[in-house]
Amino acid sequence: MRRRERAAGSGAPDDRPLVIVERQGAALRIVALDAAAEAAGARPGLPLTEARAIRPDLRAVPADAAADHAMLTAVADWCDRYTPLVALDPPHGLLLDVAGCAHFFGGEAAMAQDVAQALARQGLTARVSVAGGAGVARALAWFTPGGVATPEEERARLAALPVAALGPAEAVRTGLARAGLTTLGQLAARGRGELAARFGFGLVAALDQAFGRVDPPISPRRPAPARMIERRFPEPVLTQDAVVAACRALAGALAGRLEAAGEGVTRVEAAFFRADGKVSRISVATGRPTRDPDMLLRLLRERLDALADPIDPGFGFDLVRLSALAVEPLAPEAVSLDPGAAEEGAVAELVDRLAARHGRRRVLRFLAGDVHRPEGEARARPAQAMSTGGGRSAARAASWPAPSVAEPPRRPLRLFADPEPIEVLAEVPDGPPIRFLWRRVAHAVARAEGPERIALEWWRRDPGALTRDYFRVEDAEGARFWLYRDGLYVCEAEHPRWFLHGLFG
Amino acid sequence: MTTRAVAETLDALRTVVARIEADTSGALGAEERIVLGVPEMDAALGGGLRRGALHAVSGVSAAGAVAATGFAVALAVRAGRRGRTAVWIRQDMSGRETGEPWPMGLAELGFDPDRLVLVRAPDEAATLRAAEAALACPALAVTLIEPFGRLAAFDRVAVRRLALAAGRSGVPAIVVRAGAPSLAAPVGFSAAETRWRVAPAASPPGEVDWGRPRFHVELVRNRRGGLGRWTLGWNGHERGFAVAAGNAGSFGAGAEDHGGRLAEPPRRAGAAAGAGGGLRRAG
Repeated sequence: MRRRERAAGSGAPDDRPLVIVERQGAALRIVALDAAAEAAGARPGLPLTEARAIRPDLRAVPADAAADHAMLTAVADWCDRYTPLVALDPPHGLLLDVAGCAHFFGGEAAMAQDVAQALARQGLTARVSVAGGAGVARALAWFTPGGVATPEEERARLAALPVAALGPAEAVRTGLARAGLTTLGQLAARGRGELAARFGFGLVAALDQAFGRVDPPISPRRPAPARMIERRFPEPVLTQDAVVAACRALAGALAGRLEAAGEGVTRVEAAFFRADGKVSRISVATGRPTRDPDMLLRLLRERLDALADPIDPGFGFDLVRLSALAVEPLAPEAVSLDPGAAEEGAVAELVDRLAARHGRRRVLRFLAGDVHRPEGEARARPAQAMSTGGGRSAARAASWPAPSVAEPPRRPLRLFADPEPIEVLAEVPDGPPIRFLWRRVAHAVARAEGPERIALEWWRRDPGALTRDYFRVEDAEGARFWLYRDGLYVCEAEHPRWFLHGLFG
Repeated sequence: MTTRAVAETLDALRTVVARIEADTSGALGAEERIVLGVPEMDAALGGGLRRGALHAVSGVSAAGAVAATGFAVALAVRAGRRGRTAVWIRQDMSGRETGEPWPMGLAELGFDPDRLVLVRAPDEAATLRAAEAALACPALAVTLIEPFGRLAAFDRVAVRRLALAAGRSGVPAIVVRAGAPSLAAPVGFSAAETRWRVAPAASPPGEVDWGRPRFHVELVRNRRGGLGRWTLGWNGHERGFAVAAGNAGSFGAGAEDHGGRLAEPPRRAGAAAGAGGGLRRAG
């Protein structure tokens, strides 16, 4: 199926003929035009000056490739309602793989008509053709009125197409014209070897594609979902209750399918297709595979509630679709007698809900790191990405420090992501701080312990990273701080700077 | 005969199921107590901190903010349950102002970082929402909630809801006001079971390996019991409080002296902060 849209000037109150022009060489030439302009005698390729000579009141708009592409993408979004496999065919085409989908719309012809009419309502002119292969459909949509053809008709129509349908290079085109080959039918009658020898292999390949002898798969914009389930509404639904009810029904149906397949889902997307073409999508992820419809619904609602600007139903949704984007095998539900497992499940569900609402990067678990730099000693990871129970079960490079019997804590309770610069009075070269000024408050150091010298591992040493001398200090009030001097005196820095990195409880 | 045997078996199974359900449903009971291990404190609290309730901890100065976190973490360790996860919800601003909760330090206080889920909430409203969600989950050991700022979202109704949620799930809610220290008690926290004010305490003089967590804590509100002031140390290895040595001993006669010292530093700190940081003034 191949569609072409032209003259995106829908809804303009101005009813003068419209043309889209582009600078080609020295002249502005028409690249697209509306029906009025066409009736007035303008043609694509005509220089604007000549067209103006025919119709002086012609409205000319410069071509905007970016806007065209955005438009095409939006139309492709809308076309997702027909099939999940939609590919862009720039600059003005879309390819839809409708294998197995057409019967939902009453057959291929009805589907093609539905597409054309719906796009016409949106102010777009489209030529639609359905054929056995993407290349065939593409050629037919561009060079015939389109429609659905039987394979025999398809061949006949293809044979009648001008050689230009193959999009040959200029040299090849003139060569073909000299040889008297004007239609695809004439080309196809020649031997492939002869054609390849005279006009290059590209022409043969294009010919093969046009006739569907080779049918390269289209590359869809979105990955095809593992499972998908949808609900169409003859009357668009507006209220949130109706939308949620639809989601609930879909979640139930999806759960049924997943159960039959022995799968659980880890990523689900809900797509809301507005009657006027806009498509809104929300997706939620779970830490472990699930097929509990209530849980899926809860997560989707969390996500919907958390949207900064809620999904605007406009004139209503006429299609709601639930897609399982990622699935994993999931054994049938066993009633677990282990209270620990039930608790872990409850925590995993809480994590999913928090992640759905606040974003997965905001719900974290910690992993012990093995880097010398203090800020590398632990890493925060999305909790959903880690097995429940922390990294305990997973193999870990490092472990947490055990609380010491005799020693006070070596690492602060709170650590600043960006160490804060402080002004320090300290003995040169490596004495502990005596006084320091942090956030405009002076602290007199009552006790200090250090230095603990921390350097980057030698194999990671980069010239910008200095050796840090860390001190634990306690001020007169009893507050405890973690400070460091960035760089050794003289050998690394003339006047090393001091930073406050953390606070002890 | 067979029917009787079947009935007996069924009965036995039902008992087992009931026992398991009692275990898993997290029915730890709102009334269950978190024993703090300091006899005087436990006595004042009537046997320990109530588990299914909301407890508010605030610092008395800028430095007190971290002391408050330390005390709250100590309470969380006491409230911990074997193998259970704790949730710590902290507001972004709080992380910027007083630093991010750091797992290395937590581990040294006896808090298992593997059992922690940290939620970074962007603002007060999100903090509140996440807290509500967490407190509804009975499988948690404890929920630490760390909002920042004026706590406009944490009004009387919101805090009451949190307290009720804690009561239903039996998960203690510990609200830490780390970022915006204020001498005045937080406004909406009348629903809190207990309210604590915390100031850092200096390490005892003469101690060689100084630097263990020490706080002056003051129990300023207790819905069903007495109040009090203590100077506590925290031992991460034993996961227990210790009445601080040095100024230890008597809480009778020494308490007055103590109280004076507790009340003083905050005022000084407040004045110093008032002259300097705008942030501290805002609190």
